[in-house]
Amino acid sequence: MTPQAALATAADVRRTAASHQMPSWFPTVSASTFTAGMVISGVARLNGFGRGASAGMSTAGAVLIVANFALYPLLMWRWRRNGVVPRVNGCVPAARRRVALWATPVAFALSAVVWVSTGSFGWMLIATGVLFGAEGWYRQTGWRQR
Amino acid sequence: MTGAPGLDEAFTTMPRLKAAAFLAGCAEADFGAVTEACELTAPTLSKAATALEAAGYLHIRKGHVGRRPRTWLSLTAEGRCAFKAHLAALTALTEQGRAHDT
Repeated sequence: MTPQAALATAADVRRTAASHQMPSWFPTVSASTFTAGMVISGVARLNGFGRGASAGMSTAGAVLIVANFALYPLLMWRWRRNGVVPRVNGCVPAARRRVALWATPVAFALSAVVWVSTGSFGWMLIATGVLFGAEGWYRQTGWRQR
Repeated sequence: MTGAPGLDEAFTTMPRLKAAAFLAGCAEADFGAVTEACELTAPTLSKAATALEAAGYLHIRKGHVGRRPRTWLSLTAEGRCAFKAHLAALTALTEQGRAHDT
């Protein structure tokens, strides 16, 4: 086996393994269920809604958030059933990794600022949903870029 | 190729190289998926996996998907580093060969 042949074989086989990756729908569905759940839960806590409407919205928001968390074991089950679990963090481009380092603390800080400045837990939930939904979507779409 | 500087003896047979390359591209893979993707027979992969495990480069884990038993293979951190170094050595050898030809 020549070094060229060994390198070509390794690259081919590795490419086959890397073709098993996160489904394209996952980042969007994950981000939108989380954001929608948090925004609905937040809106339910703002003034102007009756007790029944508020309870209904809170339930709908909670269902969406639970659905979001259920997506992860579902994805893992799908990978295990197919026999290949991709490397998600190991293949994120360096630029995205750098952004991800500060995006999470910034999202936390901005949510806290919204909470303190408005004094409203509802607005904090809405801000958290939008910020962490965007951050999660950015991070997860990075998992697909190799 | 064996014995050349920088090359790792553990990856110098084609089945071990293929198995390591496949596992380098994922977090872990089922034994059956590796045989299929690498076009290896089960005994050949088994022998390669045992050799890589003995070198400390491969982790073998028994598990289940539903009721079906599965054997999961993954490269250890040491295995990933060693395989990366092996590929770098192969690249250097290839470049040396090209320079020698010109």
